[in-house]
Amino acid sequence: MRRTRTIFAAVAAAGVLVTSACSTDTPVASSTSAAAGTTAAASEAETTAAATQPASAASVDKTTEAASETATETSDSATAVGDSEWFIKADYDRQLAQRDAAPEGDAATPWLQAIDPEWIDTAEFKQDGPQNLCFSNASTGNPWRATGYVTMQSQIAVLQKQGVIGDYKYSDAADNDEQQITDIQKFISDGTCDALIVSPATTATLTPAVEKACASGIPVIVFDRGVNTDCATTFIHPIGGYAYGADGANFLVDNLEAGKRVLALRIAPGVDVLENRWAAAERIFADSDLTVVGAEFTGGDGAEIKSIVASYLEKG
Amino acid sequence: MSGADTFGTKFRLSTTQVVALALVALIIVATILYAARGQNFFSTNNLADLLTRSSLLGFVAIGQTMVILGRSLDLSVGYVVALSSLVAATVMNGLEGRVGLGIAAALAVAAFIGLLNGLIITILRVNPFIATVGMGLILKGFIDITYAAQEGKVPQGFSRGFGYTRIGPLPISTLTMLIIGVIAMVVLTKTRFGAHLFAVGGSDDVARLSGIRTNRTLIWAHVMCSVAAGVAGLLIAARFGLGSAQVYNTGYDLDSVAAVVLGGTLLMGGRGSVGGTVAGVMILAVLESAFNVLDVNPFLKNVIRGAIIIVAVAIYAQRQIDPLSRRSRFTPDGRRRATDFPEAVGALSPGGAK
Amino acid sequence: MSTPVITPDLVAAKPEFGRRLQRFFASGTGIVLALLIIILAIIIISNPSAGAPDTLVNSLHKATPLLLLAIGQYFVIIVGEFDLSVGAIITTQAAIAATLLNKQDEGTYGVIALMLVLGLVVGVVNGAIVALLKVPSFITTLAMMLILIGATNLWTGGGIVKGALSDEFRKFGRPKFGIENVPFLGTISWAVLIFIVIAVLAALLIRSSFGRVLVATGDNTKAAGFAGARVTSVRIIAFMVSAVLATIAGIILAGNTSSTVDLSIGSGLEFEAITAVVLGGVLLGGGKGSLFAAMLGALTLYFIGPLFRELGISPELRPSVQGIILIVAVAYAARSGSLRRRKGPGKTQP
Repeated sequence: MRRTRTIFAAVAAAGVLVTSACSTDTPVASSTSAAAGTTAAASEAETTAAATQPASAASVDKTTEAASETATETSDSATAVGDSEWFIKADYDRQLAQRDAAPEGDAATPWLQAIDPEWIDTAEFKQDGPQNLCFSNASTGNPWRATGYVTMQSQIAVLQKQGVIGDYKYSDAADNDEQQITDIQKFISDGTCDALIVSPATTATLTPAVEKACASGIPVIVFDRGVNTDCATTFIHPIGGYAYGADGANFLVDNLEAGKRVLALRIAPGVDVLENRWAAAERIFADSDLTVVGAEFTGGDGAEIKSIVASYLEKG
Repeated sequence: MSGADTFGTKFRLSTTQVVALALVALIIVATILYAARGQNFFSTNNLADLLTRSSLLGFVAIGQTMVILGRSLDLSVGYVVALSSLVAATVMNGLEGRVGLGIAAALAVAAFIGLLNGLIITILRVNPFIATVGMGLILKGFIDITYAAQEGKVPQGFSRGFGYTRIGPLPISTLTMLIIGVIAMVVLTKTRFGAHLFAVGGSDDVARLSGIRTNRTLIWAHVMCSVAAGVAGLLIAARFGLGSAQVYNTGYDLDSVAAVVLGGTLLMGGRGSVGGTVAGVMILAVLESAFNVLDVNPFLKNVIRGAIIIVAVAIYAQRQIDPLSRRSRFTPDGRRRATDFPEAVGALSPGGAK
Repeated sequence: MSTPVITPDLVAAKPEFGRRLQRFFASGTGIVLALLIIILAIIIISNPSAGAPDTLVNSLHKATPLLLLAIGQYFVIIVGEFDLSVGAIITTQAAIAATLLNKQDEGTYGVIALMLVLGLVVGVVNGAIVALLKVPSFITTLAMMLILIGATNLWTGGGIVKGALSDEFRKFGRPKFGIENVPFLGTISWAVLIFIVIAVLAALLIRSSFGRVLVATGDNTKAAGFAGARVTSVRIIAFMVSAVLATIAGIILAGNTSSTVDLSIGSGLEFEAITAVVLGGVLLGGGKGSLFAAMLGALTLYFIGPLFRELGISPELRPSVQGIILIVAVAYAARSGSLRRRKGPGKTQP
């Protein structure tokens, strides 16, 4: 024990000595009181159409699912809809309007289309020759992200062959905010990235790290989930959670007879985009003739969903 | 402090030293890999990155070491980290003047949870596994009801000072972690509490029959464990600039146990060291860093990590009769050591009897 | 029971009869049974239709995977170890089944056989590392979990399992297939029948000489070894039982869930299984507890979900209530056990 202690004390001391001077890291420049959702550049044309997938097995006659925050018709008494701390009317209205907006750009290349984009001139970043690209990904922990990852790898291979992209560095934070902050820090401090792509794990948490990346001067591209700063050169994001939830809820309101009962299956509490989805859906259900008999958290686990749905059906 | 030390035993590496050697070997391998890619492992940037990665898990693992040495376990640490970050950030609420209050509140909450864990395990005699899994569930419900996913605001000064400042390559957070580690080592090797904890971990019955207040010892260990997790929560708050509930999904509970065991501490209690734990945490950090430089597929990382953990612990287990890391139970009062009788020690070893 | 045994840990071998008496009274079987009855009573009072025999059979069907995992975990825990890899085994096996079957009925039984063999292999590896290399099972199976999940992700190319389960395969998991039109009980599914067969086999096994060696090894490995027990092989076999039962649980769970397989299917089940066993009063650390009580623990844990839904407890609050129920139940069992045994704090190893 004592020997270990000495070893570690020595290591620590050496660490201090090696660096003759005390340098302090450039601290985070989060001076502004992060105004929510001020980001803009281009909204991706990912119109969140209610991806209706048929319900699995058992109770097809009684089941209608909409999107990943699913809702299932069953029957029982009512539950009241309370006001949600996650509901911001302005965002809700904007997102609902964007659902019907015609995307700008050529329909032949939907990946280049955008809804209500605010274009920024990025000519100042134009460079010749292969550029080193760095990508800090939140995770590949769900099929959507895994597909994105695989697709991106292939596209990068193509671009590398064409000589557009030189070196490509990837880091996967496995849904760990702290790891992603460190990953971004590492990319910046290494100074080898000509451009940095960030797909943040969570919004508020990653804001300081992205701001710091912006401050380093390289172009920063944020996509998918956002951050609370508009320092990024480009921000590509889906319309948002409200539209997603509203589409699912509207689908049920339109397709079910009045007085039917709906069971909501939610993934997890406390995540902003998921809460937004449910806040919108809850509002629409409250204004409709449908009754919400329950809202259950499933953790996205199929077996759990099955068990919950079956038990609601059993209740009759 | 060479092998042929004052105790007069023949030269033999302690498990902690094996861990330290493994760390050194791994660093050498990493250095070569870095060099092959034209990078410098010992660059300030890389070292800073490495140390930053290790500090968070380091806090949790140091605390976990305390309870594991006492033959207990804490699987609620992830929730303690999350709650502590939320308490700190909401109490501070962006005001510089409330930094002290925020830290105190977060650590007090953490200590209280540790106290509850300890009481449930000792007084109610609930197995630590179930007690802390149950406590984790209770905290999860509490956090989900009370807080949003992210809440509160940490003032710049604290965020900058604790979260992002470094001295050369050494971040303040890692320095704090090392200081806490040294304090924990001193507590374990120099104090009566430390000797008692080793004794309780070695054999609860024997410790109690020897007149040690086993319950009190274990409760203290749990309080320390939770407070260490609370400090990790403070670091989260400083790094994020706010409190985060989602941290509990990160898996600090199992990661910390893995780091502790990787550091050579016996899961069955009674033997091990904080130094080994810190080395175990560093091993994981160097691995992660090497994975990144080699561009290892994110899924393959888990396979390699799992294999390395098994191999490492298998190596320790082959040399489980380790006189050096359990001596501290008896040396403070200069009593005769049980290790003069290797066979007797063998009876207490993990593969042998419980 | 009337004569307290002081510090039984230090007593190498106790008479079989005495230990069994002691095990019976200190096992907490009565407590978990009472808890289960109370929970069922509340559910049935608030929703009488839940008490119909066919509905109860259906509930048993849904609880089958957890019950099987609990039986497997019981074998591992009674010998003093853990198996944290069972959730990952389920995930891996389900992914393999979906990929190999690719919706085709032919080859279903070949794939099932392959899965069982793979389960055996994982069990042997777990057991060998624990028993021969002396790596603590917590670490061995935790690492096995990392390896299996990582390898499955790697193999499937990151989270999406291509292919789907065949209808033939799914028959084992779905409630509608089995012995139909049983009076009162409706359809008794294959899953329930499989569970009954396994439960009986497990009960016979634990009562056989192998079972006694298992319990003795869990109680005191050293003493059991001195007494001539093959402590290494019984531990390896315990891990094999756990891994194979996890495979069977995976077949049922995946079949019941849907034809596609999601890699989150097994996550967290290892903790549920351990919790179920401990809720049944089985001592972590080995040597004490009954198989029947472990199964009761699994049923109790399963019915906590429906209980919460019946009572309308808000989903956010449920983890807290579940945590409190767990701690109180285990504390109560420990308390009543200790009154009889008058022992110090129980074996508290993780």
